[in-house]
Amino acid sequence: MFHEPLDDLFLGSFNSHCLRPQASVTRTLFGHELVRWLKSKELERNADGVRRACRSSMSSDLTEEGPITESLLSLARILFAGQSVEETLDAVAHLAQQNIPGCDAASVTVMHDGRPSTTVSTAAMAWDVDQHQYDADEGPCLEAVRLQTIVRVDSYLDERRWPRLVPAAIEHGVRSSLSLPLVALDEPVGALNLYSTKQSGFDHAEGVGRTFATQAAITLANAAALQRAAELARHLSIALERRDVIGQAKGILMAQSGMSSEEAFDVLRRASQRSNRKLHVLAEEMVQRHASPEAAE
Amino acid sequence: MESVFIPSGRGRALDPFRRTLILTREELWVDYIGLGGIAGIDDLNGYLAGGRDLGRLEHNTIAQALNERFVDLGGNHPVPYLD
Repeated sequence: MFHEPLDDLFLGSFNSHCLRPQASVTRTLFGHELVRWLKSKELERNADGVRRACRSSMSSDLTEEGPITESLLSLARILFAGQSVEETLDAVAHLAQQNIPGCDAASVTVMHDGRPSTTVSTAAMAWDVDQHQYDADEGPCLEAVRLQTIVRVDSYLDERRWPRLVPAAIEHGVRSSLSLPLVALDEPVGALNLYSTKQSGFDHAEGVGRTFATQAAITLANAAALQRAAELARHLSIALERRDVIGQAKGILMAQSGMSSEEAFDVLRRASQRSNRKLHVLAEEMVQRHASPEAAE
Repeated sequence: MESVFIPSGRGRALDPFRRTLILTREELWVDYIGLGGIAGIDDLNGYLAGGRDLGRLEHNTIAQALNERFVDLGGNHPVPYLD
């Protein structure tokens, strides 16, 4: 599907999460094709990671690879659907609810500038209890994020650690919960919050949850990396259009005055400095004047 | 006019402006390419770090990229060029 130079250009650099295109890039390498290619490469990497995570993180709670592996692989596949980070998070929460035993509601807390916010939830119960935690600045979800540890609550009826949160949680029907930190590249990025209406709902779910949260964090990190790549491709596309018109303007100056390319650039950037306007705007005007001199008069 | 190579320390003088703008090196490279720059991102990074040489034209193109960001913020070309 993609020709070799494209692979040469991006393969190694994307693996290190740093795009390092060369100066000889052409416009044909950018836009939707680039994003699709990046996603396909990321999917391959992600799927391998899922398989490794499943093999290495299986605990006694998870003795059969089949259904969980499939659900984890589906996390990787959602990157193919061109979904945003929010849509990816939504899929993560729903897959968690469907596949983690005892789970009646799930949500994902994401940290923005050190402040938590619930980006997605599968039910109002999860959303409401998350908000109570943020308002009270206490609770298992926040502890999971701050201490980067799994926090399990077997019975909210007997829970004494968070006196401001617990009554509200009980009122919303929560009886037990499991909060799993999402850690990407050693940085806490949020938490996967699982709630149950039954006491001890997550007695045997920590292993599955840990495996799931590991992959969810990788998926989130990958989704963010892809979004950055798409943004870079968009900016490059705009930059190349500007480069084109600046090249035309320099060509006009060189043809008219016999100056070198460097001298033509100097003329343009001095004009930019004098008028405090951007160089591509001046170049655009020059090209238009050259194309239709009567219109400029 | 032939492009002259500039001692590597000149590139390092540009980096404080980039940091003031809170601009990543990748973002600066994209702006620089849009102005006609020809150096790869590794060369740009090396130049800003003081470990690599670029010519006068490339230096001034980087300076122009930074200055245009300052124009967006209401400034008027505070980054000096090489004449």
